Amino acid sequence: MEYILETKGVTKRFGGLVAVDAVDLQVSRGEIRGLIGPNGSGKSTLLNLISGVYLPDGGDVCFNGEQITRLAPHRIAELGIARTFQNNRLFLNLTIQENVMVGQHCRTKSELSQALFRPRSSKAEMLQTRRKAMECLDFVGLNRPPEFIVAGLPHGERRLLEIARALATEPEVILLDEPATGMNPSEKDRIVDVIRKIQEAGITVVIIEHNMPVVMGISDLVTVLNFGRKIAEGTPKEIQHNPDVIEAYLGEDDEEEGSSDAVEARES
Amino acid sequence: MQRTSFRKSIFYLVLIAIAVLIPQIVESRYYMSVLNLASIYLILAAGLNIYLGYTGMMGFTQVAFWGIGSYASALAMINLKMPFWTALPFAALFTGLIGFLLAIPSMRRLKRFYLSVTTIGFVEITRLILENWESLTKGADGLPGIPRPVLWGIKFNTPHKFYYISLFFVIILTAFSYLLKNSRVGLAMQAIREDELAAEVMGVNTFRYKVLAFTLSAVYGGVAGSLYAHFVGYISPNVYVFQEAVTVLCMVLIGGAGYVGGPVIGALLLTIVPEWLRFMHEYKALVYGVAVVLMAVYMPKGILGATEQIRTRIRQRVFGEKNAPVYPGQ
Repeated sequence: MEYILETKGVTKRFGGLVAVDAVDLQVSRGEIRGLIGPNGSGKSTLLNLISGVYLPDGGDVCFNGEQITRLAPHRIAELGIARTFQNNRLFLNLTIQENVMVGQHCRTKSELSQALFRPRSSKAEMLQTRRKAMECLDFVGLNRPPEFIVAGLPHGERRLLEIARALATEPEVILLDEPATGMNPSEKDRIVDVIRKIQEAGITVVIIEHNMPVVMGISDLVTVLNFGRKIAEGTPKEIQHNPDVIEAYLGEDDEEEGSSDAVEARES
Repeated sequence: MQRTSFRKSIFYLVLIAIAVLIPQIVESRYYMSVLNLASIYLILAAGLNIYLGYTGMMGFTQVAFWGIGSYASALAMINLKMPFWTALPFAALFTGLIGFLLAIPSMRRLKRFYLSVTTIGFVEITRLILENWESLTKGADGLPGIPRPVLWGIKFNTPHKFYYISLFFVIILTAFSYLLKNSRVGLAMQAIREDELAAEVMGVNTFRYKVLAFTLSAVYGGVAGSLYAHFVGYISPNVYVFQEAVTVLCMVLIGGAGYVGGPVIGALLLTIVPEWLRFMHEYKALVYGVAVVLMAVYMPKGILGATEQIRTRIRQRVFGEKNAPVYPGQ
């Protein structure tokens, strides 16, 4: 079986620190993959390697069986991998609609000469881009006036907007970096619904998340990183009972505790 | 929406009509010269606005492009016997090419301050070349007797007549700035200004659009240079000094970087107001400096940014706090 997204022994060093150490990750089409691990375990670095923000020091990243290791980030986005960022990186002085329209950039073609002479095709494309942007905003359930400047948006809606912007690139795989961070319970439910909807739309999801109920609730498979290494992989249930995982999160412990609770206990 | 855009077009048409009528009203040759210079500065500033205001990069090259455009146009007319109407496009394209060649290595390797420092270096190098390549540029003596433009037998040899040429290019290039800003390419440039990494990851080829923005600003500089050469009739290397680069930068920042109208307001203010301040000649630099500091503190987004903010606040009062529509300025 062919994986939609695969890393083969991918490695990244920062000076003496090995942030990601020979990680093999295989993600199948249509799944939701959770990526967890303690702080500094290399989750975000791994996403940066996949999306081309960092160049790996070793190993390969493959998308649909093709190697994408040394491609520029905008080429990777064009091929169909979109992402969000751990700390929002929205275009703050642009409007909500414009932010999402940037996502459509790699699916549209108008160049400088079209900007100057505005042929009918380019006008139609602009309309189409606007329409698509509104669709994406609808999809994540962000109903604000499209002319609203993003700088005035509260945190929870910024998270949704980032997802809408990523969806506007019409991806096959979307990488979400801690989408539920800093959200209240009702906002978290909203994010979970959106992620489910993304899966239903046929898009593969890789999600980094610290919130255990969220990630365990929606992931088909969970991969656990610690100190840059993959230490476990399996269904949420298997992971919750995996002694290595519990040790990574809590440190070695003499007392026997209800292990699945232990993971969740850390969360609260 | 439809109505606001209609009202806007009326507003712009009135502005253009006033601009066209000015030479009929203003008799003084002196003031017409000032207006011509303001137009030239406006084009320089509009070029910088694409690079600085839209794409968010800091640079001082505009003055070097101005010089290159001036010399290219003047020499094309004197040595190659080109008419003005081919010399100007030639100068614009030539300057654009230089800008493109400078942009490729700079945009590949440099970010932020390093890029700014490179552009300062480029300004100095250009001036030194103009000064020392005596066989071509006649060095520090400058090039005198640059021919005036002629069209349909009309010689554009007075500030009143030349004004129409300046105005023509101001309108064309400002309209182009507007069309660019509202296009797919302009949106990509603004995304780069806001967050370069995010833009790249969303599929924008940031390198390509940075090179494009730089090249376009060079083309604007080339047009301004050509106009300057044929308006003044004499050019020398000591016109294109670093201080002029700072002036152009201030025009963009004071008018409002990123707004199509920003360079228009900035250039008009910074060429006309100093003329009014002539009576307090010795204090000119002081007034200027204080104005820039006050602007930086109280209106960091320039005059247009400030008016937009005020408009937004009024809207929020009227429509209620939360869902107040916020309109981006043009």
